[in-house]
Amino acid sequence: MSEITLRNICKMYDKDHYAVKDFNLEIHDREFVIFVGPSGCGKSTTLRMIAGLEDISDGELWIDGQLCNYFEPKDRGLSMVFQNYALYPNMTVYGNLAFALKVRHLPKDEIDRTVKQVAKTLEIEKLLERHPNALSGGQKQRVAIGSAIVRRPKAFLMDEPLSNLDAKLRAQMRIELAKIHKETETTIIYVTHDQTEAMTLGTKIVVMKDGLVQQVAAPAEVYNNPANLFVAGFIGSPSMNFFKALVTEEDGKAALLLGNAASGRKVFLEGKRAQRLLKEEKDREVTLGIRPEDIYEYQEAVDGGFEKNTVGLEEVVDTREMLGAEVILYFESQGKTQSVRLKPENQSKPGETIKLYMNPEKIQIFDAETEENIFYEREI
Amino acid sequence: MNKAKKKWSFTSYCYLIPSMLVFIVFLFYPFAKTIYLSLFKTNKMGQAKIFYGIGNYKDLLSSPSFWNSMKVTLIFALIVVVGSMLLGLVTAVLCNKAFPGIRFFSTAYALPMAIASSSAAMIFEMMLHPAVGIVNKLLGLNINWLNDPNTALYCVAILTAWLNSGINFLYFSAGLGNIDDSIYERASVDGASGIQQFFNLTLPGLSPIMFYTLVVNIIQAFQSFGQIKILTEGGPNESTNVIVYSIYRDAFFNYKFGSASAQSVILFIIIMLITMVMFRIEKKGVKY
Repeated sequence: MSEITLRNICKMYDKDHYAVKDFNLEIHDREFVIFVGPSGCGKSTTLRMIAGLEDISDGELWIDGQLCNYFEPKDRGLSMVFQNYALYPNMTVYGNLAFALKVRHLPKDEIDRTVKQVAKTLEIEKLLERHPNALSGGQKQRVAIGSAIVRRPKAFLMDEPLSNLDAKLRAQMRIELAKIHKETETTIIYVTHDQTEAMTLGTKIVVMKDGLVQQVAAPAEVYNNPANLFVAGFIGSPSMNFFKALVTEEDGKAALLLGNAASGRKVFLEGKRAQRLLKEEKDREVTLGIRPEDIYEYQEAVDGGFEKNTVGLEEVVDTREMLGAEVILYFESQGKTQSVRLKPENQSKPGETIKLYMNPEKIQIFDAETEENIFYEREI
Repeated sequence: MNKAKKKWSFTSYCYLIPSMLVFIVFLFYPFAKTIYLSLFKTNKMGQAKIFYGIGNYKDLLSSPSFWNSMKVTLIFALIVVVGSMLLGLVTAVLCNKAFPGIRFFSTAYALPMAIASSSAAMIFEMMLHPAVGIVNKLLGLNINWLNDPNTALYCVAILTAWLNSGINFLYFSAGLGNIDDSIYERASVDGASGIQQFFNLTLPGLSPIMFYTLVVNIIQAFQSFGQIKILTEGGPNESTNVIVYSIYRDAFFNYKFGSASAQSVILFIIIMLITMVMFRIEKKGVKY
């Protein structure tokens, strides 16, 4: 059992500069929590505060009902995997794995048994006698993870553990981490700037920016129901498209004008969402956000019978990326590069005009000033 | 193989001439001359006069004064090496953390490096003065430190240890800087106490530089001269007559250049043997 609660955690390096501000989070047993955000957003600092490697400037850290702000790192019962692995260069792999147990003065045969068992799980039995400088990146990574799980800690803290690996190995280790999480049944707090890792590994994602928590939710929730413009743009690849749009009313429907009224570039929203939009933002400029996969070819939408807006958007294709299972077309609109994810059968070439259709049900609207998502539904 | 041979050329050797000249004039020639002289009896001018064979060596090995010198040298070297390395290590570890005033302490700990052994000796002479010295004043004792055969050697050795600690502080500071900070972070999360971290991470992390420092310190200790010349001149009662001082005295007071040369050769052999043994051990002891 491990419950970790962070209450209004702050980190200040000088008087009026917050590295982390009012961080609130409850981490339940066996959760895989991901801190994600661009570099400098305070995610690593928060992790290091939990580990005890950084002082907490303000707020409370509770681990299993104990206030741990002033506990030494060794007394918090956590273990950590570092980005550069932090293996002890003077010890063999065996020594590295055994260290945390040795300093606790556990009996030798018990240490031996545990180390060998962990080595077996991670398939590093053959490396036990080697020194870290004779290991490859992937092997070092395994040893680092092994030395973390050998102790059966209350929780693992992982600070960008995969970022020094090449793409293929990273994908492989990602799967193994998920497996380890399942097998060890431990809480994991994981820091990354890679949103693919965040989406695939996490049971709960904490999106951070400039020291502030932007949104805490399950991966699908963060993807489909982003709290604000930053979260919407940060999660997803290629990222969400954003258009400036004016909210007007036409026949009881909400019409979003993407250019001037004469251009006829508009999208209609209906139902509850339209009512809400008109109530809050009528005649104001907002940011319309839509993911590349929620834009279809116009003809496809007409054929499918789910076309609801009167006009399609005509755009000139800039670049075409064929990814095998899908094709991504890039086009310029409102001075920004936008993208659309289509079926691989689409044959549009750069320079050609394509007529597109935005699925109105998937459109997110962000307030121009606060950048909050107007349609964001807070979890209860 | 052929290709490599072609690269040997006269021009490339020419580049070595300046440094080789310096080595030959100040090192190789005196060294050869010393070996040569050690086989002769000399006149007062230091010129070889009568061939004596290994007679000088035989005389030395049967002289109680020489064996006393050997004993004194070993005790002296042991105290100096252990003392200066411990002092250097402790000060370097203390200064490895950032805190206000660190520059003051770093400078203070590295300072002995910049002090001439003779000036340090003068200061110590004052401090150890039986009547007005601060050491006796503070300890409330009345010991004639430098003139008592029981204490003179320790005083000179401790002074030398302090003098040599400055450079060790520098070596160890550099060595500590090379140890990755994140392994300490991991160790503290892993549950290691400060002492466990020191013995499991810091000491092994310093082992490559530790070895180098040890070799340099041993050689330095065997060759200490200035402070002994000023403080005790080998006395009282030969209790600080280390071998280097004995060489000096035999050559320039007693004009026994042959005997002095023989002692030099023996000192050389001892230092060479120790260094060879050290390098042998290093291959096993230094782990990475």
